[in-house]
Amino acid sequence: MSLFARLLRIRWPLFFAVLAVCLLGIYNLESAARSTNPDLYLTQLLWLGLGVVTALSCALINYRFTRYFAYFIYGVISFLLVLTLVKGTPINGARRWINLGFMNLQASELMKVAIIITLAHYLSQHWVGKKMTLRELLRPLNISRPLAITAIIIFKLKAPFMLDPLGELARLTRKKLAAPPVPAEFLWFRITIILIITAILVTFIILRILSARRPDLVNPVSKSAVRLQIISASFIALGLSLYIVFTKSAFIRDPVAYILATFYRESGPGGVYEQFTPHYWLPVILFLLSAIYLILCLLLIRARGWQTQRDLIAPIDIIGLPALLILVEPDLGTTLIYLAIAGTMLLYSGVNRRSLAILFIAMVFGAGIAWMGILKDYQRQRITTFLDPEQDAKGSGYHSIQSLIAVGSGKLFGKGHGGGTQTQLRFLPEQHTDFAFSVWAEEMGFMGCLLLLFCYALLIALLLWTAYKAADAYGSLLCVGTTAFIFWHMVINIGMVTGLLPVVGVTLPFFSYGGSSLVTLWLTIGLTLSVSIPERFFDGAQ
Amino acid sequence: MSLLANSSPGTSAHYENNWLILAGFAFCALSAILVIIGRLYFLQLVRGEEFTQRSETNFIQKSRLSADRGFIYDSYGHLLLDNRPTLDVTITAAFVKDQKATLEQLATLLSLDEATIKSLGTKLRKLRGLDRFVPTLVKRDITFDELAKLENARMLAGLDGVDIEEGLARRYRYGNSAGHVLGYMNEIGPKELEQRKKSGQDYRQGDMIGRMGLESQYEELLHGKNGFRLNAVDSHGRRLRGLTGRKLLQGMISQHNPEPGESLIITLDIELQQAAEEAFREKGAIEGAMVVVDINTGYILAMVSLPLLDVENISGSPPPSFWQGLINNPYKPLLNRTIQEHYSPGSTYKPITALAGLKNGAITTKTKYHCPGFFTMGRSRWRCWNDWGHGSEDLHSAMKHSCDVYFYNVGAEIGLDALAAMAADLGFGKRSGLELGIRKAPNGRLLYDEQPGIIPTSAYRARTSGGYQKGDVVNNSIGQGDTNVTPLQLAMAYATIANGGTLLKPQLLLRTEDSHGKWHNLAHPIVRSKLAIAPEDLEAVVKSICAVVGEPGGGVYHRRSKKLNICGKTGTAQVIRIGRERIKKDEMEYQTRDNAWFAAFAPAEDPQIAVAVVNEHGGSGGSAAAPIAIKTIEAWYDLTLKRGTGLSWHKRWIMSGGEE
Repeated sequence: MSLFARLLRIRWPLFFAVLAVCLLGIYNLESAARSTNPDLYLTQLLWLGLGVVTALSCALINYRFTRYFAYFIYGVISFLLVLTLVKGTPINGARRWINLGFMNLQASELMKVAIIITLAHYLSQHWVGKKMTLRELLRPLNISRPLAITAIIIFKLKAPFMLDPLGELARLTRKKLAAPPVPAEFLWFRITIILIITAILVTFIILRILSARRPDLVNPVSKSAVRLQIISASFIALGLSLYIVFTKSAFIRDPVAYILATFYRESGPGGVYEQFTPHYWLPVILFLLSAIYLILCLLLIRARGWQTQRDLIAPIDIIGLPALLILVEPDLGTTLIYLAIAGTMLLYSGVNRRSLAILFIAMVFGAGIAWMGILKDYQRQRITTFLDPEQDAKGSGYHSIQSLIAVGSGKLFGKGHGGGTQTQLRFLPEQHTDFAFSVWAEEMGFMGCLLLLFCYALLIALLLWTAYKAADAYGSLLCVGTTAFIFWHMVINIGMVTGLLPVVGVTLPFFSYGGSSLVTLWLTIGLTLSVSIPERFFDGAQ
Repeated sequence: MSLLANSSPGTSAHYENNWLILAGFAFCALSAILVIIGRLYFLQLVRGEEFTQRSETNFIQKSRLSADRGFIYDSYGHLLLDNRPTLDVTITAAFVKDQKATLEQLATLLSLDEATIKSLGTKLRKLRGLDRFVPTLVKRDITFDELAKLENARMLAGLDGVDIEEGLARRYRYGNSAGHVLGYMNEIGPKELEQRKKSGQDYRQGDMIGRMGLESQYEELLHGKNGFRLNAVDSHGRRLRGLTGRKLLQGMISQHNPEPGESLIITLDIELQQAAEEAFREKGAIEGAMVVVDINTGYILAMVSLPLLDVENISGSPPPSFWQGLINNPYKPLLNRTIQEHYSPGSTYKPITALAGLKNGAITTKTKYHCPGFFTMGRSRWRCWNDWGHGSEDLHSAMKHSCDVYFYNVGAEIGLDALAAMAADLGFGKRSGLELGIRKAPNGRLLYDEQPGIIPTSAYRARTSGGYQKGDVVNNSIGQGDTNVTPLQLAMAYATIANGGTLLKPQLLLRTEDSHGKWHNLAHPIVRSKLAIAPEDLEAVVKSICAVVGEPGGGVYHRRSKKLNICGKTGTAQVIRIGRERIKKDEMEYQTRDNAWFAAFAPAEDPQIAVAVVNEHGGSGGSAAAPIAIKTIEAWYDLTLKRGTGLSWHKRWIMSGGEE
């Protein structure tokens, strides 16, 4: 059957509901960004075009293909997340974006898709009608946990190595490097990223072509599929090595010093290393332990063969690694979204009650630990401010109060497009991204908000309907993941804007400005549109 | 089914959707959306009005339009005090790049001392949020020299955040002349600000407020009513000009013009005041006071207190060193000696003793006493100023020669209480009621700046150490002892004697005039009391006073005016107890020299003004005080002739109801 026939069969109401929200968002953006960047809505229109194209092309391919490189995408984007931490452009004390020259890539947005796909893939393999136990949720042996521990340790060192290990190393080894050739470095950096993305696309295309002729590829645990994954992984390794080779030669010259330097910090200009203090050797021991654990895992895999790989990965880990990486960026909002998406998907795939209770208790404890150890001061302050915003009306409660004033002063019909005083006089913070809804509420009033909320309700209903109608567990899980993505974003954002929840940086899906976010969202919508196409339209394709 | 679908685990063959959970999700999503709608309903419809108001106060900045302070004119229309524009240096914390360096630079440019810079620094650091966009005053009223330096530095170094703003300051058109009467202004204190705000007055931090004299007394009238202007501002406090700003303020009263304060027209004659000050200066007086009063109305024509107060420099924010200098000055320039200081009046008090004697029938105009140069009572002896004695004296000659013994005798005859009663009838021992003397504090309490003076009675003496003795009256009958009067009281008493016995309330304010030229608070003479004494007795006392200047043998005869006849009495009041030997003025320490007095009225034929002069530590009244008074009276005479208004200008002005 032709692509055109498939195009006709996608769930068009869903498509149009999303498009409606997007257009309302751009209309709103025209007013919200008028005082700062009047042409921003045109940029967003461009992103919308790209998003629609992405969605429709995604819809036309068989969504089942995405299963084959679920872990691959997951790995690549995890790598991008680590890169963000190391090489990201710091904005307001947080490293969330990678500068690609032509755009700022927010890897944490892409990670949302990766989580949905990976988790859907994982959970659909276990879709046997039986509820999952805690043992299944937390597999005793897996690879990602030591990886996560290592990531945290590196972060906790808080040494300059974290941010610029090579430059630090040069300073440590006293090999005086001349002023680093920044433009060249950035060039190679970009080449690496582009290479990796190309690798994903190429794999995608190869798979698409090969899928019809090589049915064994369809089984994600088949030998051929595993090989494919290894090939993809080698692309990452290639990218990384290219990066290292072409940017700094320090690692090649003296790799041992480089690795050692990661754990010893230069204290003072004299260059005396602080050694053997608990603060420094504790992480080293932890690192070594997790390394031993990792090697053990790899040996086990080798002994039992690749068939057992599904025993090595647990859903908790799929979500745990990126959540931790994002938390240290720091980006509390996105971390929460990851957990919310994963939780929803787990709930849908079925978890037994006892496990659920244990998980809940663990979450409460985790929140306590996070409050004390992981959250940054400003994040803690945001939460205390949320409880009583008036206590510091000109300080950290400012955003919350200004937003409430904007929303409240909209009344029934609003102040009219472009007439919002809070917006136009820039009393609202981040009014084109996180607080876009405040702008809408101020200028369009209660009725406008009802319209927007109706669109969202319709969107969610249609997504759940698609999940209900899906032909297989993977498709259904993809839809539920997408629903969770959009729903939690919406609830957290509007809750924050209307003072129901503390201020965390979460955008309103399809409505706030942001290219990475919009394309990511359209990508997931594309997948669900693909799910909505009846199975028979894929049968005997080509 | 293709291979593709069949070969993967968990495909449609085994798959059965979890519809119950999906329905649960749908339900959850719906309830979440309903909660959001409920919240929006609460925010936008229930509390919408409140938030709308808050959004308006967010962008509307009410900036004050200060009312022009009222001017002060003298009664001949001379402008004494008006406003002039000033240049004030301000600093806005939000725009300052390097605070420490900027302040240091300002310190050198504007010659600010370290303490000022330090307090400014802490003030700036304490500012938070939008307050950082509000300018803070660095120095008021900079000179053109400083302006030039500052502009130069701004060109070179930028000095971000430092601005020059326009302000208003008072301009004293006649320098320090009448400074004590006009008063000065400076910045309002935090406590007073709070009190004034509580009573609904429009003041704020950094405002200037009258501190002394008329500026303080008529603060409410002079201050006027401030207006306001509404400005639309953005979140950074920047004013939105043009269409956007106007559109936002549509439908609101965007401007309310201020009402300028009322102008005061005061009874003072600035030319006479200047002449009086000049007369003091010629005599080289350091401390002293003079009051010239219109005897028919009680209006004060001149009021001098020495040393003159440097009102021009006090106004505004003088450096702390300037204040220290004023406070530590041994001559106390801040004191208005005409009302705030009291002195022994010396012989100028003798007419009061004479009047008391006549009223009580103790003496008649013909009664004579013999003056052997001293007076004895019991075992005590009091000397006359003339050690050789005056011989037999009646009232007229005793006054002319200022014979102490005669008045000792009169005093001894009538006793201390009768003397005190007459003094009280003439306004001594109590506050005259001059406006400058009474202030109403913001909390409604009355504060007195005027000294009541001391007129001892037997009851008063009984309370003091040593108790009442019969001989106490002797000293007091020549204005020594405990008797203390203010120069204003003395002038008012002489005015009473001169005008036939009407004790008037002294007044300074003639009327006020609002910005539309309308008159308010028109002053009328206020009679405090009438002297109960036979006119012929009063006439005799007046004649005797006139003899001091007008007849050969009188103490000031050789210094009399060639222009007009003046009646007046000298006084030389001892500041310390005299020892056995009299010593000359020049041999005494300044602080122990006698106070020279002269109290007078003129012209003798038809008295119009009364004058009281004290030249502290000036020596004898005849040589150190009388010439000052006579010069002033001559100046008054010349001025009156020059103006052609006639001698009793004020009298006629009042008669005509203030129409002239």
